[in-house]
Amino acid sequence: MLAYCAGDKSAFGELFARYAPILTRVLHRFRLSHDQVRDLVQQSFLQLHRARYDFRPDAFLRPWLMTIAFNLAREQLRRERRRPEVELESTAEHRMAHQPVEQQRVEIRRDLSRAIQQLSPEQEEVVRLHCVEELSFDEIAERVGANAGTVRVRAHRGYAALRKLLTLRNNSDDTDIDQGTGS
Amino acid sequence: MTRICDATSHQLHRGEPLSEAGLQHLAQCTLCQDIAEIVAADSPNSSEVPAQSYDVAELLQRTESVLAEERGILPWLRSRSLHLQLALAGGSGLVSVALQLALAPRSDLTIYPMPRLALLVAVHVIAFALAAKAFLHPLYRPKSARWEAVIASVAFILPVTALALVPAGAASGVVVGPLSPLFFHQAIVCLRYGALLALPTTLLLLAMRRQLAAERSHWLMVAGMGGLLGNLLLQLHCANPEPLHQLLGHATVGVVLFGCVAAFLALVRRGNRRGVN
Repeated sequence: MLAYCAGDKSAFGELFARYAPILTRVLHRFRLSHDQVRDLVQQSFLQLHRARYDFRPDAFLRPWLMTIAFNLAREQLRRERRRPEVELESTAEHRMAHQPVEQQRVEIRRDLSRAIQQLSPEQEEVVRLHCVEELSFDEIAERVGANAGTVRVRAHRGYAALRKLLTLRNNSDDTDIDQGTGS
Repeated sequence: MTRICDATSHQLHRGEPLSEAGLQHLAQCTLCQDIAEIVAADSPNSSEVPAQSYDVAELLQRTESVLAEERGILPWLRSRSLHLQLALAGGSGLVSVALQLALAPRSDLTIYPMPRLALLVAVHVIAFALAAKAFLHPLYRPKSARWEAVIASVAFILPVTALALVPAGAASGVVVGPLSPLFFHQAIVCLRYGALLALPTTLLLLAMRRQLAAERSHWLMVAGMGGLLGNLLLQLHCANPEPLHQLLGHATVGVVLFGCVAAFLALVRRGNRRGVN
């Protein structure tokens, strides 16, 4: 990101290749059409370009970009609620987006379960209680005998580690450097 | 905060749609962002996500062609740092005020109570600064639509509420009441003067905004800011303390600017439909 801010245009392609697939996958979860997701990813990087001189060298790019994408998605969904768009063609994706919630309940899959087992025991316990049993952080704190703040820290670290593990699994040559140094 | 975090994270796990509050929380919570990414990464090649959404090269090409069009004064202004943008907006307003005081100050400045004038200027400047910060609020920070709506309302209402103050100053000969045949003429002269003087700063603010103002509250906010500046300039220029004159000729600058902003945005949208922005 710093290289891009300094004028290295090729760095943009690297940033795009690294983060666009992540944004695409995450934005698809908002029940948006394929075209809308593509537009939102494009707009996110356009906004990244426009805001590049605000980027601090010590900041992390991923949450920066995610916040941009989620704010854009919010605005898109708010506009849709005011002016609902009618799909001209019924695609499989459109039908999937309107299936009942019960059919789309996310279960722990084999890879996710395997990834959770690679966490430290305390992180694994917290993530399983939060993810599988859907306990609140206060309830988890009571169960494990720690305070809510400690539980949140363990959950935060556990999920961050899971994210890295799953990203490495999906992109085996992705170094997934979060910091703003480098590209 | 914890309750909304719990609710949002569980909804993400279940794949349920998020509420407005949940989306707002997601934009600012790295824990929930990690969960969103994990849940999405869990099934990257499933039938839920069409294969063509991963044509990264094609999307990169499209994005780069859009970026290639980011040339000229408007893209330059949009890509300045936030601090520089705020300084430009403040500087533009300050220049208008300085020119106003130097070239055409109100005729009763010598008898106008200075503490009241200072308070008037301070309130307008603070309201303008808060509104500018909200209007130019960057997308990489969490934003609150409710807060923006409040700012927009304050920017419009402040000039009107100032009328509740007891009139001050007014040298002899400048008071034109509603029964005078010159009343509407003078009100329109003031309205035109205030709107024209505030228009450059209003357009500058619009030009610096990094995304097209999509929400009506954004239009109201920028028009309200122009109204604040116009009203302040008129307070420093026009000595007529008649409340009805101030309402029709000063406080309505924001309304006129709202019409100008709406026309400007309609032109830009028509241009966008032809090209790419």
